[in-house]
Amino acid sequence: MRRLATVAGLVAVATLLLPACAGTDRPEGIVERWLTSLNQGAAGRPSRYAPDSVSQEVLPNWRNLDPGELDVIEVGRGRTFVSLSFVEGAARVPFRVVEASGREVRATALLQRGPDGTGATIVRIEPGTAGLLLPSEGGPPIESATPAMWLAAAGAALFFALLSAALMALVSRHRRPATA
Amino acid sequence: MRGAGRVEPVVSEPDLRTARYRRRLLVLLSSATFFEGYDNFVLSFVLALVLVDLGGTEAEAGWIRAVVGLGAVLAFALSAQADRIGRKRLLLITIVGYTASGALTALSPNLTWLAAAQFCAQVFLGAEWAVAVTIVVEEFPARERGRALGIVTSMNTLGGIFVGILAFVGLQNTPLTWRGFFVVGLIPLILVAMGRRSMLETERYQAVRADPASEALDHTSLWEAWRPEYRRTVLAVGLLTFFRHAAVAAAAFWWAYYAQAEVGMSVSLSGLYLAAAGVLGAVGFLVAGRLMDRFGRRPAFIAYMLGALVFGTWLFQIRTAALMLPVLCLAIFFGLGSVAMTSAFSTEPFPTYVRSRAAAWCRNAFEVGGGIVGPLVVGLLGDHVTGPIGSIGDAMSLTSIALFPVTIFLCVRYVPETRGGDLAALDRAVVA
Repeated sequence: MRRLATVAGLVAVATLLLPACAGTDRPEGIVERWLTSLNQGAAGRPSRYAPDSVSQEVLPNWRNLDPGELDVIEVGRGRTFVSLSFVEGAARVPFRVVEASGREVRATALLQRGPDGTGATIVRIEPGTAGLLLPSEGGPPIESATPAMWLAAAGAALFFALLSAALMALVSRHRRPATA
Repeated sequence: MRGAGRVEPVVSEPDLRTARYRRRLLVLLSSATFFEGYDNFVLSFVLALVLVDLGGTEAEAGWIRAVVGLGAVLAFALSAQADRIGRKRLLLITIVGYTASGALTALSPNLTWLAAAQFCAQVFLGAEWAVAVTIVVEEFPARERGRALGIVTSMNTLGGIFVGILAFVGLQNTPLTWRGFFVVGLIPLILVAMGRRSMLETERYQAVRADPASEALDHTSLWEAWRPEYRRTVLAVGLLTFFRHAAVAAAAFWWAYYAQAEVGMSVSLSGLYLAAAGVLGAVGFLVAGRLMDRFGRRPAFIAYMLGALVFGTWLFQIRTAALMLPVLCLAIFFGLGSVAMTSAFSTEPFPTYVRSRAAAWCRNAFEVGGGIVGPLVVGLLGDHVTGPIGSIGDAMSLTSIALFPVTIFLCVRYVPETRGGDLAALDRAVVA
């Protein structure tokens, strides 16, 4: 019984953590990290995601601004495409930022994958969202759970209940349980 | 069981515990839990300002969070000392310790100092909460216990909201900048000055320690709560607490991010929503207290978990700001309000001599673990770059579905009902 509980526990941990190791590298997430980093003022490092010239277009003089200058950071679902002027794996991602002063920037970030096909960086931005809707405009979220994932959540509830029952069974019953 | 004799109530100072005394005690304990909530929220709120002022990176900020979080684990050992040195003494120690840690934080010359000071603050705060709940359970009559627990636990949420109010009025813009938030944390010292003389040791604790038969009981071992008589309840309440807190802590941690990044709400609007919903949601604690006294701990908890399941799942599927506020209020009402019941579960089933240690296991071992695992798993699953779900909203809703039903299962099958429980009788049974 003890071995069964141990194995069950390990399976539960693996079930939860292993999928998180899968490398999906969504371009929308990269754009979001870039904007979040830009919003941290001097503490931020947006250069990991985009050249400084691109960052300056969105938030001029960002290094000297206080953290939290951007009141709204919104990123929509992007579109990947194959050729155009970029190598395979490029993507367009719509975004919107609003400064505390009320200045709004709506643009589309263009990303390009690295030479080895992994990672991606923002190479430039274009004004407007090029027909791509943001979530606040009724557009789709960056990603959604599949029906199988919803079923898996219900299955996880059942699994955790059984695991709890197994653990409780391991605890020996006493003839005088502690109750008030 | 071990030793012989009967534990009788102490009769030397029966008139001191009047209704007026209990009201004053409630104010003191509520103040303690208020600042526990305040301090739990304040560091994450001012961290960006701290990094700019003291110099630091995102990675260093992550390390600070991790080090400070470990303090809550260490609080386990301190809170368990209430069975050895008494509830009153430990409460005063924790308030003084927390205040001193807050003062040291305000004086921080660098990030290492700040992390060390906040680590110490977490040790004292974690113990402070546990002992405050134990005092409520032991000092209030059975018919009023749920209501008092509801009031004391609700202050925790209001403390967190107070940080937002201070930011709204611009405390960070004063010459003290972020340090001002920790200077405010010195207020509990005044409470110690007020409460030190008038506060009494709890009647139950005095009675047990005065009884010669209780000398045969183990008042010091951390493992006493795992004796065969108690371990079934400790494990059941601990697991229930773990699963509940994993879901609730994840929702509390990720809601603002979800609202801003996936719904497109502004930082200021989401902050306003959180403050408004927090105040309304705090009513959930008070209602929980009333329901516990009227219908029992278990029915109230099951009702709250069903509410948390429905509104917690729905909350992270909402894409419009207008619908967000009412659902957020209800999610906080049921999700956070249920802590009044788990506080009762982790204290009332246990005799006085081991109550603080059992509560320490349930809160500091299981609940803190849930508070770490829940937000981490949602973050890993919902990460917009690498997460397998790729949506914090969906990851959070799935987590609610996976965890809240388990708490209901555990409550129905394994957790004892303690409404109207006679703690004196429980103590007598131990030494009989």
